[in-house]
Amino acid sequence: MEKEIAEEARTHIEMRTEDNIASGMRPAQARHDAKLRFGNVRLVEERTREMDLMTWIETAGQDLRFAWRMLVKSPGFTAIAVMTLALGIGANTAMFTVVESVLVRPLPYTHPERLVYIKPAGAPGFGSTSWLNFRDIRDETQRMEMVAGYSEDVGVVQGKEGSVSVNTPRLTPNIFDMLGAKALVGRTFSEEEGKTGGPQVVILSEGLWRESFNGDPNIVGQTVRVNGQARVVVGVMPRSFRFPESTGNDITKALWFPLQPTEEMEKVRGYDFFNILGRLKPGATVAQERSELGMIAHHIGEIDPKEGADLKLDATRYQEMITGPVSEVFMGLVIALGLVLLIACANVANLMIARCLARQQEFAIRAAMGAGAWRLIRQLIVEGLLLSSLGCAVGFGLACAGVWSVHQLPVDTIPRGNDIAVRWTVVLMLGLIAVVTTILSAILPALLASKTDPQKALQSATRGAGGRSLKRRMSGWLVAGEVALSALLLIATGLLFHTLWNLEHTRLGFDTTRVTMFMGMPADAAGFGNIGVTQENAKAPASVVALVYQPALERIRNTPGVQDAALVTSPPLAGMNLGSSFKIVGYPNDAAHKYQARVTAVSGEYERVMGTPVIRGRMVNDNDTIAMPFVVTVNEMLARKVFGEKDPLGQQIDLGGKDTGMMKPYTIVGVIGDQVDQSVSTPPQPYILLPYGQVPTTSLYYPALLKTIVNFVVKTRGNMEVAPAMRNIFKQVAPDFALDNFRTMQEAVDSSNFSQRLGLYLIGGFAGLAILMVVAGLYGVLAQLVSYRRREIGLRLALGATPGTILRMVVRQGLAYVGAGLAVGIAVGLFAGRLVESFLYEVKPADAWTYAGVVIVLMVVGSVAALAPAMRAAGVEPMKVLREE
Amino acid sequence: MNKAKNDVLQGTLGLLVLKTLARGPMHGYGITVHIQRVSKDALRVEEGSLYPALHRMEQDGWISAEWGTSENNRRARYYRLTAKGRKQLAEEKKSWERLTEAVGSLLQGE
Repeated sequence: MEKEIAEEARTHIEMRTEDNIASGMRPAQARHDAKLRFGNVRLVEERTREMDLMTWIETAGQDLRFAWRMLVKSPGFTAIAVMTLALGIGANTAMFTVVESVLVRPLPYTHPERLVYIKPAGAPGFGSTSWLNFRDIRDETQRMEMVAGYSEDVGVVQGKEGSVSVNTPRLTPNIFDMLGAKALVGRTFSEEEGKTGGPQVVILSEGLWRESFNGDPNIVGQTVRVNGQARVVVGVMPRSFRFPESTGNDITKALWFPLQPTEEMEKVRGYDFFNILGRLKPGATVAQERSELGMIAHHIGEIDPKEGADLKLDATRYQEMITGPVSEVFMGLVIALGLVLLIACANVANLMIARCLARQQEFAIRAAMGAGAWRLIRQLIVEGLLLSSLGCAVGFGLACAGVWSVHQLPVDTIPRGNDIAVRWTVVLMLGLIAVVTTILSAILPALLASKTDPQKALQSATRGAGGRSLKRRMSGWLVAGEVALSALLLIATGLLFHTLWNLEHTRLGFDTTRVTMFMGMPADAAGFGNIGVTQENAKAPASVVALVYQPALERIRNTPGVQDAALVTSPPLAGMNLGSSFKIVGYPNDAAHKYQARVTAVSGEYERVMGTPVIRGRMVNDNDTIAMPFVVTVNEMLARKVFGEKDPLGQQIDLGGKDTGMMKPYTIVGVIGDQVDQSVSTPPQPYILLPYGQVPTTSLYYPALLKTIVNFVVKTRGNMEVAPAMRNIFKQVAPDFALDNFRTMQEAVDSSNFSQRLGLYLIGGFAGLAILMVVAGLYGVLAQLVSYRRREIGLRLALGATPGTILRMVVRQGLAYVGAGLAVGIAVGLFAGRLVESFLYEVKPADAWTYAGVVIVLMVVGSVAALAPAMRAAGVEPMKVLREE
Repeated sequence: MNKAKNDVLQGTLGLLVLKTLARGPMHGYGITVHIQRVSKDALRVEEGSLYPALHRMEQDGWISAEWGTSENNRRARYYRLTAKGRKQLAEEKKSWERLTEAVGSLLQGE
């Protein structure tokens, strides 16, 4: 364009020069005069360009004003379109916020992308390995610049206002360096403090420091009592330090010990209490680290063939470890919401097409008046943009509400849940969504409108024909597309619903009615990391069972309203997983005859409180004391797995002998029914129930089963609050005990099913939304169809068709769209069903019930949406319509 | 579309250009010369404003332009009045007449 202006200016000046010469000027003067009169060519160019901008702004303003007037003129259309978009946009924005905060945003550590978690290959979750393996990996690695480790533990700390049970992870001192974490007050651990026999020190979390020590500024150097032991505080870590992240929100009130390897740790390679974290050298990849670990594991197998022969190690990015459990859920939800947004766009596009048809004359007149096709397209896009912007504004409000409600979820539902916040990236995303929705919802109608032939439209305006068939078909396709997308959402909903139904009807193996469980921790809790075998010559200490548990249980059972009570180390769904390997006396001593089971100590009455049936023999009870023959009860799973068809009663279980301090074997005296353990949806594991009176205080099992965390289960006669009475009893019996985590068994079951339930509610909600949109879309399309075909329908009626035939014709048309959409939706659903497979419980992705349900629901919905237009069609009065001509 | 009324000078220029083009297609220089000649040198178009104004009118759809060859075999851009421009000319003419009439009656009343 600039070239054109310059050329025009040149022509102008030359013409003037010629005329000047013709009127008698000398050539030089003529040229000079011409140039002078024209003025600065550059300036003219610039002003011409400015004109462009001005016109653009002015016409854009006109378009906007016009669009606004059109929207205000049809408030019903505007409200539906804006709300439709707002729901789609709001839900997507909220979801994006969550995904961005949890999955995408790096962890707040130095070089978070290079942090890897190392565990035995195939171990679920945060699998742990041993100190010895850690030492060998640390010494042999070439690809990692730093290797650190930690072990998780719990303990009781004496604060200013009584005992508090807290997480007490033990960390190797270099972990602070590796994560780039600085102390808020004082310092982090020194090398010296991480050695065996090093000073007894502790670092407090900011939360614990403020709550239990009033934020004392002189805390460093003071002594605090943890698990009955005095420890010197060396520092306080800020709230932002949440390591290890796997502990969840409780870490904000934790304290940290330096990891000081114990004698067992230095000795036994199978002592799997240790978690390893490494930082890769710059440029090294996780895949390279995996192959390196393969070599190191092989080497370990060579130097320690007895314990390390089968060792396989695996490395995973630390962030993936933390967010892994939810990333699939999130991706599922993102897809579901993307579908909702697509449906919303399709619906708005349909609404706009409908309006375009109504405005065909307007467009035709404008086209005839000289408005270019581009101008008409622009007008519609501006209208779409305005709708999207309004939708975004409302949607942003909805998104904020959504994020707020995410924060109302139970703590630790989502890893890094505290980090979730609306950030500028989200606003950016919102803008992007607005553009996408504009394009999707406005482009199609705009293109259709631009194809309008003004002459034809003007001529046939009164008859309501012209270009309609293309648009009508387009609307039909859009509705079929909406049906397909809704079918996908409905399939997901159906699968989740079936899953939840199965979960709720799973045999739990216990009765949840009026059973409350709570956790107790001794003030001098041993901690899982401090477990050792007391030397044989040492005097066996008195058991906490006789000192605390028996008297406490006695008082609990005598509390008014309490029917029964029992102690159990790890009851179902308590999140405790104390496992052990064991052998059967008389079986060959090889790897094939080494079994794994969950182990718990129980008091008498446990089976009665839980309502779990004893299948064979008897349940261990309070008469099984240390002086009596050692006995255990096992669950059905163990009996089946270890003994198959053979009779388990009378067989003897060896729990480790000298290695563990469980010198005598335990005779199986009974088999109890299976209970779910870790979660409702995972199969029960083999389970050994030891009478709590027969756990030798000198054994490894004593601190693990009875001196760290125990649970009480209380069956009440009516619905009653158990906590106050229990706290009162412990105040008298054992004032230093920390009681925690009161919840009913029903609550435990519900929270175990929580993610499925949440998923069902969310996806179900989206599907409901989608169905509403489909109803609106289908209704709109059919209503238009009927109004176009009024004449034809009138003619048919005049020629003898009955209203019934007409009714069927319209409904059939509607169901044809639904059917086409269903076919596509189901085909895609069968293909995509595998995506949700990991959430399903005893439901196949191609669940017949679900698919049948989806077909029925959408057919019914389609018929309902088609009914009103069909009735209107059937009610057409032939004579009236034909006379309208 | 009624911005011309706000800006008398530019409005006048627009009116003059439209009126000139009503006689037939013409290039920019021709328009200046025509206005000057017909007004007997009373009106002189400032050339620096003419081209932006022409461009603007083109954008508004009142005139259209295309490259052609002048009498002297020179490549020049010829402007032509559109249907919309004809309507605009009628409107502007009317409002100009109203204005001069009003001013005239005011002056006569003195």
